[in-house]
Amino acid sequence: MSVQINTLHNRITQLILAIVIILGATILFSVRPVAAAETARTPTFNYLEQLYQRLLLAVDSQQLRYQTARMLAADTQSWIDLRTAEGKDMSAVQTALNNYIAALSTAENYTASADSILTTHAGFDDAGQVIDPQAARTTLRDAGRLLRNAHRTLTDATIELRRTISDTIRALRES
Amino acid sequence: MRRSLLLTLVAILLIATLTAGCGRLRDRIQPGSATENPAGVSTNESTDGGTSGGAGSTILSPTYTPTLAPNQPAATTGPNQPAATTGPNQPAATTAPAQPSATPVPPQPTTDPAIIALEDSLLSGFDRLATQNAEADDLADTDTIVGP
Repeated sequence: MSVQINTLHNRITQLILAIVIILGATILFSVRPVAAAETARTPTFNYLEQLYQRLLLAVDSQQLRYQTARMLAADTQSWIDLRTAEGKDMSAVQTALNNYIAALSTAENYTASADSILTTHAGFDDAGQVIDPQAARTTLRDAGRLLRNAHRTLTDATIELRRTISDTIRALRES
Repeated sequence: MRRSLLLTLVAILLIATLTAGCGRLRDRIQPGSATENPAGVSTNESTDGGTSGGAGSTILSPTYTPTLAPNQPAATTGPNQPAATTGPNQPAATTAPAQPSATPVPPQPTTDPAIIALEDSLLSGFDRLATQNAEADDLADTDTIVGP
C-alpha cells in the first residue's frame, strides 16, 4: 500500500514539474521575439531620426552664411571699385572675388540639392520618423555628403578671399 | 704865372668834381638817404632811429631837401618808436607761423577715411564668417552614423 502511494506521489511530482517547464518555455518563447524587435529598432531609428534633424539645421545654417557671404562679396566689390578709382592695382583681389563668387554658387547648389532631398524625405514620414530604414539611410547619406561638400567649399573659399584681402590692405597701407 | 693860375683852376675843378662825385656816391650808399628811406623810419631799429632819419636828412645834399622836409616830422615819430617795442614784435610777428601752416597741406597722400573704415569692416566681416564656418556642423560623421 505504501509502495503504491509513493509511486503515485512521484508521478504527481513529475507531472507538476512537466507542467511548470512547459509553461515556462511557453512564456519564454512568446515574450522574447517582441523584446528583440524593440531593441533592434530603438537605437538605429533614433540615430537616423536625429541625423535627419541635424541635416535640416545644417541647411538653415548654411543658407544664413550664404547671405553673409553675399553681402561681404558686394562690399568687397565696392572696395575694389573705390581703390581702382584711386589708381590702385586691384586685379588680384578682383580675381579672388570672382573665384569666391563662383565657389559660393557651387556651395549654394550643393545645399539646394541637399535641401531638395530632405524635403522629399524618402524613408521618413512628415514628422521625421523612420518608416523605411533603408530609404532613410539613402536620404541621409546623399544629403549629408552634399551638405558636407557645401560646408567645405564655403569654408575654403572664405579663407582664401580673406587672405587676399588682408594682404592687399596691408600692401596698400604700407605703400 | 699864367701857368700856375691855370694849374690852380684845374685843381679847383678837379676837387669840385671829386667832391660832387663823392657826395652822390655817399647818397647812394647811405641807408638814411631820402630815396631809400623817405620816412626815415624803417632803419630805426636801433635806438637812434629817429635821429638817424633826421641826421640822414641833414646830411643830404640840398637837392633832397624838398623831399626830406615832410619827413622831418616823421623823425619825431621815430623816437616814438618805442616803436622799438613794435620792432621786436615784427620778427615775432606773423611770418613764422604762416609758413608752418602752409606746409601741412601738401604731404597728405592718405586715402579717404571711409575707404579705411570699409577695409576694416571687410576684414572683421570675413573674420566673423570664418568663425561661423569653423563653429558650424561639418557633418563629418554622417556616413559613420548611417552605416554602409
